Amino acid sequence: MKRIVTFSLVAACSVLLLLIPQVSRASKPAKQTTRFAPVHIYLDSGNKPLAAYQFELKAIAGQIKIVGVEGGEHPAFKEAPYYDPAALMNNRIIIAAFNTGDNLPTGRTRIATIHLQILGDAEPEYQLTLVAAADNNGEKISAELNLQTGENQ
Amino acid sequence: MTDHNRQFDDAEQHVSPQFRKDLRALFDPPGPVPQQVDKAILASAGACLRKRKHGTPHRLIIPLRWAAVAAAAVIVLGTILYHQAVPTNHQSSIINHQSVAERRADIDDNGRVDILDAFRLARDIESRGQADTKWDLNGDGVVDRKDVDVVAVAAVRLDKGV
Repeated sequence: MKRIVTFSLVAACSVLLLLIPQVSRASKPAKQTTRFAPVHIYLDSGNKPLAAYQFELKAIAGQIKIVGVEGGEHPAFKEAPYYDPAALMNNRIIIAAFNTGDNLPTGRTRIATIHLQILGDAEPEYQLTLVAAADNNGEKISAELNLQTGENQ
Repeated sequence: MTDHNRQFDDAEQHVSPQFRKDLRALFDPPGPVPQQVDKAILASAGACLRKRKHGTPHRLIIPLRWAAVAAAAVIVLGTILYHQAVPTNHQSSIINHQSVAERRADIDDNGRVDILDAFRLARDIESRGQADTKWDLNGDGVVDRKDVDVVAVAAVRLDKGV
């Protein structure tokens, strides 16, 4: 009987230790290289004023974690855009912003910068999808979306 | 052997019936043992032997064993429930609590919630001063920028998809 009691307590402690993520993470040695890099998102609305946008960025190759989101270069989109905090430390994010004012950008403008943590040496590949873009009347406009990596904006 | 002793060698020597009866009464068993007495003695002996074998009363061991199993089960269950807890990040809490309101956030009624719904609501509020009360998505009695935020947060939710 004493053996059964002792065995039960040892088994319970073992299960507890295995389920605590901090303990299991601490036991894994970190061998991957890590670096941080920004990804600049540009949207070209042509001659139409850009009043609202929404896009999705996803890493389709390489290991990344999103660590921060920054606003754009034009005053209309300088403030940090809307995004789901659950995207942080993940590899997919949906970003959106709007401005109801009159001072709106036209042509090619940087709308946001996403800061990434890149794990390993492989260069990540991204999938960028424009969900919506609209002018100051709320009318959908066609626009070209692309990204640029590197420190230079 | 002397003549004096020879008298006891005679196997056919007769004894009186009374003498025979007295001898039997001395050496025969007193009578059959009643069954109740037999059982009582056996039970008492068994209890005594068990007590000696285990050293402690049998009743105390069962709760200890089951208590250890119950403690292990409680620890495992508690750990599982802890990992299923809702995130405490403030903006994530807004997203979770307003999931019902998000279903009403399709302002332009095009079948999906995106930033253009938030943009339309914001323009309505700014142009009219107040919008339709059906757009009070956070239930505070007022249609204002907070309701616009509810729509915008719904638009960028990851589990909703594009």
